Amino acid sequence: MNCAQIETYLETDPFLAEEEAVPVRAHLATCVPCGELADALARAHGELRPTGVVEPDLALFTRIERAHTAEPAVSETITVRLACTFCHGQVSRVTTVYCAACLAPHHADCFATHGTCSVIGCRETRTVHAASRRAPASSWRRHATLVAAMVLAGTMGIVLGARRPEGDSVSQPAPAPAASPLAVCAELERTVLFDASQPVHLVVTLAAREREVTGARPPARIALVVDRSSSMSAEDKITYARRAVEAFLTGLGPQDQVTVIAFSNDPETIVPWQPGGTAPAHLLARLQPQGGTNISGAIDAGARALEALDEQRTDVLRRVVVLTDGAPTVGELDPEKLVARARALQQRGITLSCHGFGKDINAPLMVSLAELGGGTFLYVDQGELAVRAFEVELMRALGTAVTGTQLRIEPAPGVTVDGIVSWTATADDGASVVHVGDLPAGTERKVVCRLRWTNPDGRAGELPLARVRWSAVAVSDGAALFGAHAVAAALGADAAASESSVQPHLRAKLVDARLALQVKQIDEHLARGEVGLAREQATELKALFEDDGELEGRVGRNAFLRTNNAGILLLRDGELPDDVDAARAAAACAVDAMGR
Amino acid sequence: MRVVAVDGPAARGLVQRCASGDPEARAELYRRSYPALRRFLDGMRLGLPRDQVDDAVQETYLRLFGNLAKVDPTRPLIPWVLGIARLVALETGRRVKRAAAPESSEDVVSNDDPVPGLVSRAEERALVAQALVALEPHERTVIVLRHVVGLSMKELAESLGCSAPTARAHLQAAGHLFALELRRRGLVPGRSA
Repeated sequence: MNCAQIETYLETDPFLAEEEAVPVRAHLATCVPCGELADALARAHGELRPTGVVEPDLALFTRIERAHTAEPAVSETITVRLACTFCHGQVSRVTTVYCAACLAPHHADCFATHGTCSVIGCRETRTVHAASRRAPASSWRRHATLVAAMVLAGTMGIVLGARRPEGDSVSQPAPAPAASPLAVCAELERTVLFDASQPVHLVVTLAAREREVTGARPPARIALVVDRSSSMSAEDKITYARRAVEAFLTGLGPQDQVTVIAFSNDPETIVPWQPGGTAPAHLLARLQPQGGTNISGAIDAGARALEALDEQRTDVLRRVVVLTDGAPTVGELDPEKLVARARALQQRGITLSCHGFGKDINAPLMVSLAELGGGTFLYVDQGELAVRAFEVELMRALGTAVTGTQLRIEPAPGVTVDGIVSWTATADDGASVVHVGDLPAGTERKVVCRLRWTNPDGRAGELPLARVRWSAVAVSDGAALFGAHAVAAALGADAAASESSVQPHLRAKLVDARLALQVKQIDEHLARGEVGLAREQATELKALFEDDGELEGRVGRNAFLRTNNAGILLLRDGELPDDVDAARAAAACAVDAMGR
Repeated sequence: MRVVAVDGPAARGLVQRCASGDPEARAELYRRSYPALRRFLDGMRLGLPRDQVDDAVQETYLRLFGNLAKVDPTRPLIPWVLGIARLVALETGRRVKRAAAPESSEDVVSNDDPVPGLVSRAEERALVAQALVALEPHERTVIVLRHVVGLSMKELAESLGCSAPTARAHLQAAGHLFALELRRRGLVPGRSA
């Protein structure tokens, strides 16, 4: 337990298990600054506590009773309420703006915040307002107007009620698409381009909607595959692993099914399929260290166990979760073949997550396995964080709303994809394919893509840049989700027009991507053995915080929800672990947290 | 600190009586749950006059009474009530935010190092309240449910509609951001080197 970790535990101190609480209290007893921090936080929390007794307000109850028991008023008019497409809050007719293309209602500030219409597939930037309501004309005036219109129409040979010709720009707007569990938005950092030497960033945001839209959580089928090689005896890792497995099993619901497979040279099922909620201690005691590390055999065993269930229903979450402390030493050792297995699993509807425990792991391999397996990579750098990592895994696994999410970016002629921040893209027929994997409900992932463009003819007008296609599967009903966006920018006459078209709402995402890019460069230095350069670059990360006062808050939020202690120490304080493998694992966590 | 009454078997029967339309049961349910609900809505510091907080209380109970058939009698009642109040508070907060002038919410924060002993108790309380208001609605809700209402981790999970590990992650994230706001106001010491 060190000073950087202590703040994580202070908030939940009363709820810590005894084995977690003991090192926290021991540290607080010996470290004066942390003790002062704990006292100050406790004092502030104490200031929030209410004083005095709250007595029920009987007059208010009478009012509530009257409202509850009153007969519902029968209205002769129908009230239509509109909701903002962006924030879903109620909007009034007077203050609403409507998308000029699809007439989706928005609050004016919501439209300004989003920058474009927030309906999927509609990128309209202009709005229209409702016409002011006029008093109805009197009866004789209506008749006179109708007669005049008929005479005029007859004179000009127009048949009233004729359809507008195809392609008329004032044709009826297409209805807005029904709410989908996955919303995808592709936006350019600037909508007007001028200087072809400057690349333009394309930000694709994939957001899984909240449970209200995505439906109830389907049951989960999870194979926990836990390393029990002899190296797990070091630093008592096997004990922490056992506790993490116990916490995971008890965190599942009775509708879920889980099995535990221990592996060293060969896999062995130590807990057969059982409902979640209980952790059989006598079975988990068989998790004893021995032998080598056969990761390929372990993954295959997990997948076989899931497929052996042979369930007909499609609305189940199927996932293999691997916890290991080392690189493969037995079985398949070729990283490319291992990664190909992960991709094949994902195509069979099975997600693969990898948790690396300790500094001896092969971090790049595990990151690739989790990324192409559609799951999570987490690096456990301290034994006591193993439980926490499995809590995050549980949260992401049970919250999954869409699975197998894949993005395909097809550049237009004359445009090249110069790089995709934080993701491993595979090339396919000139396009870049990104495997985004599973998305828990209420979360979003972003893919930032740098595009190089040319305009050899010097033409004006609109320049097509790329076509973005996506596909995924909704876990609630197994429905296939797919769609596409065409991305284009206007060609401007001067640099000022280009600068003024920068989209302010994308700024935070691009700053996060820049941070992730710097961490990625640190990882590349480490891969080449340039440890000194990596450390120098790590210390420069703090400069980004000076440019952006909100960045520290975002890093803090991601620290707890999406990465671990080592990742956050790197992001926030520029600290890199001494061991190169551990440093690369920390960098992988940091890139995942900020770049995606 | 325990502020919330523990839900027991008696509360389970109470829910069933309420669902069958018993007005005395509704009064009893109101009497039991009102203190926690009031503390929560006051603690959220929505910037509302008292009569509008009463409106939020009324809205919460009307939604509760209208949905009693959906209440699982085996689950604790108070977190259910607070779960409804959480949604009402979020909606109310959004409405208040829209109505407020945009420049009126800026806190006055000093970048100077705080001088120990110079901040009075009343000022400290006001600064803690400012730090709470500076949080996003979700994080504020989590802090209020934990430190003002005094929910346990299990009750917090019930109120947030998630599992206990998820609630713990939310509490840690909200606690970290709250500590950042307190640090900005000089109420907790800076990070140790």
